[in-house]
Amino acid sequence: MFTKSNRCLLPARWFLQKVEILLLLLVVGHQFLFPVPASAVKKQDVTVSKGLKLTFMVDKSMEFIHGEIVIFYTAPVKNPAVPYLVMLNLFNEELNGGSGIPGILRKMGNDFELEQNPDYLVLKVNFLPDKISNFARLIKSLYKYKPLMNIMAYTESQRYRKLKDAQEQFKRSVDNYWKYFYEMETWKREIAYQIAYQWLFANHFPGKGLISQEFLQKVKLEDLRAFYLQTYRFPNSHVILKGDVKPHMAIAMLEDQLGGFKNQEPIVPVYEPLVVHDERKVVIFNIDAREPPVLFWFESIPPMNDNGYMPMLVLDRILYGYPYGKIYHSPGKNGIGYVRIKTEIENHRSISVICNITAIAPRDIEKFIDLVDGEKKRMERSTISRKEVLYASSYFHGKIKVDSRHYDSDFNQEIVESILDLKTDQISNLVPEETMQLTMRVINHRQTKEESKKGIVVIVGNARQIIPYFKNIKPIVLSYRK
Amino acid sequence: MKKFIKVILIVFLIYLSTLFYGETVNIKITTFELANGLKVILSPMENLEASCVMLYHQTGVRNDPPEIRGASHLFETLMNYGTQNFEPYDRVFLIRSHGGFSNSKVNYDYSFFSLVVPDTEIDFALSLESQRIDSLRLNNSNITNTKNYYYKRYSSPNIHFLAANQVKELLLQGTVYETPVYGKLESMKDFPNNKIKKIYDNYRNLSNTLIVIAGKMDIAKTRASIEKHFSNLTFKRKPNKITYSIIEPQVKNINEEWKIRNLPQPFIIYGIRAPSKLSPEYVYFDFIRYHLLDKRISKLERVLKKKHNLDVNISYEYTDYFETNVLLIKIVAASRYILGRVKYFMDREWGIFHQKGKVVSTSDFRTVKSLMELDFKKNLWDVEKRCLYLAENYHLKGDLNFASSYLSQLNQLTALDLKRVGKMYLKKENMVILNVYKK
Repeated sequence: MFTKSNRCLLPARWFLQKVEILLLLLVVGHQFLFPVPASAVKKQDVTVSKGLKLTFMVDKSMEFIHGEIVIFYTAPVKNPAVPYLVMLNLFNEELNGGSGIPGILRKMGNDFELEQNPDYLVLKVNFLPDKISNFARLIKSLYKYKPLMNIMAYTESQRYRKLKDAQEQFKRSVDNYWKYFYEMETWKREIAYQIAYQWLFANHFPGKGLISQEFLQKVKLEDLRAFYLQTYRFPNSHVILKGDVKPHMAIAMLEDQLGGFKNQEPIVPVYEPLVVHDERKVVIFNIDAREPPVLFWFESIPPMNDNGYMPMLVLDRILYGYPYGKIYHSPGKNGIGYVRIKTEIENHRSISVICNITAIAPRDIEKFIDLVDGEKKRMERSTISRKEVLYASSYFHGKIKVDSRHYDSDFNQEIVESILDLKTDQISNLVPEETMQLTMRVINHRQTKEESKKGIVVIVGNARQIIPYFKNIKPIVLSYRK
Repeated sequence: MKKFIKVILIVFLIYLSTLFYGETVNIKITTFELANGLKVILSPMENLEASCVMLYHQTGVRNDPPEIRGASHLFETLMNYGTQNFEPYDRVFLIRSHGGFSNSKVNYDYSFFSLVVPDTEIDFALSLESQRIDSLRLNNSNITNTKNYYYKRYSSPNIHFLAANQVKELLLQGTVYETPVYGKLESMKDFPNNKIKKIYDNYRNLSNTLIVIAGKMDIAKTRASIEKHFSNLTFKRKPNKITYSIIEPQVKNINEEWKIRNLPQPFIIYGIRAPSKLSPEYVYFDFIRYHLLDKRISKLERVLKKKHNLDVNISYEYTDYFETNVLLIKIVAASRYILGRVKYFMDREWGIFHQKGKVVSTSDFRTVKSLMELDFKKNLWDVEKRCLYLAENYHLKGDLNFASSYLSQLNQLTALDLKRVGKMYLKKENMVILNVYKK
């Protein structure tokens, strides 16, 4: 018979104890001995089991995470108020009583932004790496928002009360739509885009009309539900995370949160061909305000994957770019006060829209419109010099580099790839190297006739202060509701 | 039992290590000094193609002679005038033509001039900056034009601007910050031009100047560029050796009322003395500022607008001084009646810091802490803000390891600290309150 002897086990136990201490020291000490070095951004594309596409851009030097959840619209929307109301019901803290999605965002620091685009909605959120589990819960809540889901999502005992709550919340969102709308910092921009798109693309969802009280009153909760169920789906969404993120951990958390979802079939997006109406219109959106009016000048240009795209951007820069732009050196500039132009570009599938924005005194608005039209006519009659093209191209080349300092500078590329069905190398080839290769023939060939009679000009300001200064222009005046 | 204790110990030590790890921020810094005494701080960043070239001057309005106090502020614009090889405003236009932008600020305690450029243009930016501090063309014409421009700008009848200035002046009476940063308006036009020209020497003085560059760069090439453009500069005087100290808040308890003709909407300004940047309470007070006023989580927005449905607009201004600061909270109301209700609720908010019980709920406490840390890390990612953090901390504390100490302080913050700091600073006896009504 063998008996256990302490003397026999002692060396093994002693050895194990030492190993334990060593392991302990390694666990604690590794953070200091082996700090994680910053390195180049590592990109990884993954599709999780429910069909949600994820892109990780791991950048350890960025000690936080910037995330974007992009939800692409798959079908035309009849009532332009519907997507906005869905957004309100999902994200507004007051409507949700601080719980649900707003509650999760708050736990993450509440540093988020919503962007409503004609082709997609994007939720942009910044958070610390230790809040990644909240991000996974956010995604679950976004795609399983019960008040907008099927009645069968509730248990029998809950159905009546939950339906009543959902109806009340929906009614509050409609009743308070304008209050919440005007609380947005960018509400002037939103209104201007709605008005411009109404004229430019009458058959496209944001072009169905300026969201008016009439549209709001026609909306029912069922419309919101139908839109939500059709749109907020994994196959037509894309989640992008950049920063100090651990992809394997994020994927595991997401798989865990999305486990209860059924598999969703992708919906093939229905793209209506855009019919463009860009004949000149001047619209004043009248508001009772004392600050200077803001002028938005919209023009349609070829889409990003068209050879005509860059020449139009270059021409826009030659005209408006400060300080060498033509409008700043034109004789017509005399007598017009301080003007600085900010340029925005919206890229859609079959078209892009360029918008030049400036705050301007009421007495200078008509003079400014005449100045721009005059310079455009001159540009049509003469040829653009090589020097001007090089200045503009050099500006774009440099701007792309300077903009790389923004932590979200690569996100637009990901989104545009999805909209235009392009690969990364196709996008990066469009700009910036190509800008330096543009020939004079291409630039001058791209100038079409009668550019000076195109474009939708939207002025958000006090019509009573503006109209007295108009001698020749007959603007359309739209009213303001609070 | 022993095994159980061991497991607890291991878990606790792992938690401790992550705590320390979480406070370590990865900022690469290289410093050196040129033979002429000019100090340089370089902070290379990967994964972007832009850089910020900043010249930080340890001089500001407080260094002006008393009779022309505020003259330094004119240099925010004067520095854009021509130099030996560049025409007026070339500095701004040429950088813009490369897709970049320029920025400048002349404050009481420091001044900076920065250029954010593509990484390939660092050499060009350095050449612009070296000429700016060596061969700026200052003549009577451009100095007079600049004085006139600022006089016109600051003598605007904007009532909000005047009200804010009045509150600040009352709060900062007796301190080096009591006059506005542009000086006394009535005497600005009479500042002698020759004395203004002498102030340029403060900016030329290499002992007062730091070059800070953050962003993408090749260290060796950047160093060579700096040597090329700056090593031949020789203007050196004694540095502005100021020993900064904490100025404590004083008893004020001032409640003023203005009646203005044709005022569209009445408003109220609460002026509160805030801690010095040297004070350990600076971070704690900043927490309170976030909690009450940051638009993303503002308690005042929730209480006044959402809970009590008051038609108000809340904004604030927070100074950026070394020895003491001021927080101005302005609330514009739709009517005088609403303003009355605002005052009632605001008194209740100040009272929270002087009563028993929590000043911040647990969930708000976590949210604000998270947001402060997030904003700090986002700012470190911004090339211009990183330059300013580095320069300011070097100037004030001689410390380039500010990130870890800030995060450590934030991590150790407790609700008791907030109560203590709130009690000290948020009391009406120390406030200046200005009510502005329609006549």
